[in-house]
Amino acid sequence: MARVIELQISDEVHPARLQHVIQNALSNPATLERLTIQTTQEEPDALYAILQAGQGKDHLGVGLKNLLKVETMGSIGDYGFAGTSDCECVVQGNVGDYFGHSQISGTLLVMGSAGHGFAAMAQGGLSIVLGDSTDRPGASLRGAAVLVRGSAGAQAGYRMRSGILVIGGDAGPELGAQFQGGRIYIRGQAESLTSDIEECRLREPDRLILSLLLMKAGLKASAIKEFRVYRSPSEL
Amino acid sequence: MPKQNKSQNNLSSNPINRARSLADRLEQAPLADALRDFGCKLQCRASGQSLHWPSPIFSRIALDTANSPSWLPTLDRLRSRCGVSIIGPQLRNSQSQSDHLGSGAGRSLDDGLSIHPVFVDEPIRFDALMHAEQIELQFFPSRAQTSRSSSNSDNMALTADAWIPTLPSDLTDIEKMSKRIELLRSASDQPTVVVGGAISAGQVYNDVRFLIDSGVDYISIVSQAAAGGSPPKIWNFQPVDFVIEQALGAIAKSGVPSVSLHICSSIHTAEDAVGLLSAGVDAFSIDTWLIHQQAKTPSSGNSSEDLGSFMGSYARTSTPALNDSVLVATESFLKDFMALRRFYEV
Repeated sequence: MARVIELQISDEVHPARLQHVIQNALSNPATLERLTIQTTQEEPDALYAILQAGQGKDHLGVGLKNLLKVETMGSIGDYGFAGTSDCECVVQGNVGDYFGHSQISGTLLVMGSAGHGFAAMAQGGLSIVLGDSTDRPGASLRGAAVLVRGSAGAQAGYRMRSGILVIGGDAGPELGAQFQGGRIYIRGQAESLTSDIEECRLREPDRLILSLLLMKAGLKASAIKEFRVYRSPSEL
Repeated sequence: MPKQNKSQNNLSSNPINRARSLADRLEQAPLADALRDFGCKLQCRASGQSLHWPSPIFSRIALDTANSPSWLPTLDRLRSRCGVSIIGPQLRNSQSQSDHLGSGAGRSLDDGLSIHPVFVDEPIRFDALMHAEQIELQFFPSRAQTSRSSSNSDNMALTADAWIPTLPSDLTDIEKMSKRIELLRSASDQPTVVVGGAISAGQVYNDVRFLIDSGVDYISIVSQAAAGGSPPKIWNFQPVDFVIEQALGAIAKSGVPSVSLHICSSIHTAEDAVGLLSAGVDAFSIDTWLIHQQAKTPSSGNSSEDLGSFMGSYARTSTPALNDSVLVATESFLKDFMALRRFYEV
């Protein structure tokens, strides 16, 4: 039995405390205005939350965990879904700065474009933006996979320590500034590269990683050959 | 000796020598001391509400020492018996039960606070902040960062560069820093959550102004590496008198007098502590004093070596023990400290 909660976020509820709201709702369903329960055999304890409000709000869904799916109808502000774990979060719109900051696990999907520092310091999971991202996507990445389907702004992969950054379009200046580890895959052209990264040959493991990530993002993997790989010179 | 005004800081003379005469004290109403608040109040700038510490003493040993697990039971007891506030992840286990209710609900008013550290250049653990009453941003690298090759956090050791100031690598300006602080504040469900910033004493004036502009409620300055070894050669802590003067000057000029000042410096006697308070500091760390007490304790060494048998050579995992002598000594210290505070009216 998968539980579906449609959450109406009133002005009294801080968007960052969505996890508290959901926990309270689960322990006391009568507090929810609308609680729909749908039955499925496959996932008996899964929880599917649909946020009908919260458009443009900062800090929405910070620290959410153990939810089957959370979907927001509209764009959201800064620090959306930061620090989430074991959640699949979908934003039907654009996101502000630092979306998916410190993400631990799960999947974040942005149907629109993202602001500054997309998925910065993410430790695990996968963050996808189907549009463009402004500067510093994947900044200080700590092991997560980040996919920007469109173009990325300046200093993509800034101070990355580990993880994967995939850019489907072009990148702005100073790609990989102060890069320390991980991989950057880019399909288009970078305005300028820093000396902290060096291009290397696209090998079979890279193709596998790329195809898996593209598949997870629901994208065609036919263009894998067009990607180039960048690593830290110390790793080569 | 009333506490010095933050805007009128003068450290030229020893503040302890400026107590009111005994004759003046005779005018004082009986039991006036009993009504005085000897704790420390921090004000949340966002809500205007105050957070009360039962005593103006804190410890960051659990954060700064490599052998922090051995301190856990002692620190936990210091928090509950002496009202010492503890910074660090040290109380995770003992707090797990109260996590359901929130740390505020599970804490007596006489207990010290558990302060959640957030390293500015590390990912944020929001689940740990859900019920946090107090959060402190650490503007220097963490042990995790300096020894990231080690997978076991208990074996992490501080390296010298742990005291070199750092900024969040994903932020570019003060406005974004203030938004980060707002995020941390909103992550907790406690209405009086206060967010502070801990810096190492270097460019104190500018750093304090930066933090105040970022929106922190209090500032903690480490002017001595009490528990974490020496700083690197390229880094020098400023002297504590200079640090206090600069910090209080910056707070006064910022126009936000509600910002509190905490100092982590060398404390050897209760007089040192009273001297800090009278200089305008709101709270101080007793780490150097605790470490000194532990060093004086005969059994402070590794217990596995005390056996002296062939088993001593085997690596064993032992449960950290409560250090009673440190507890007793701390209680005695607090007694002296409170007596001095009453006498000097700090």
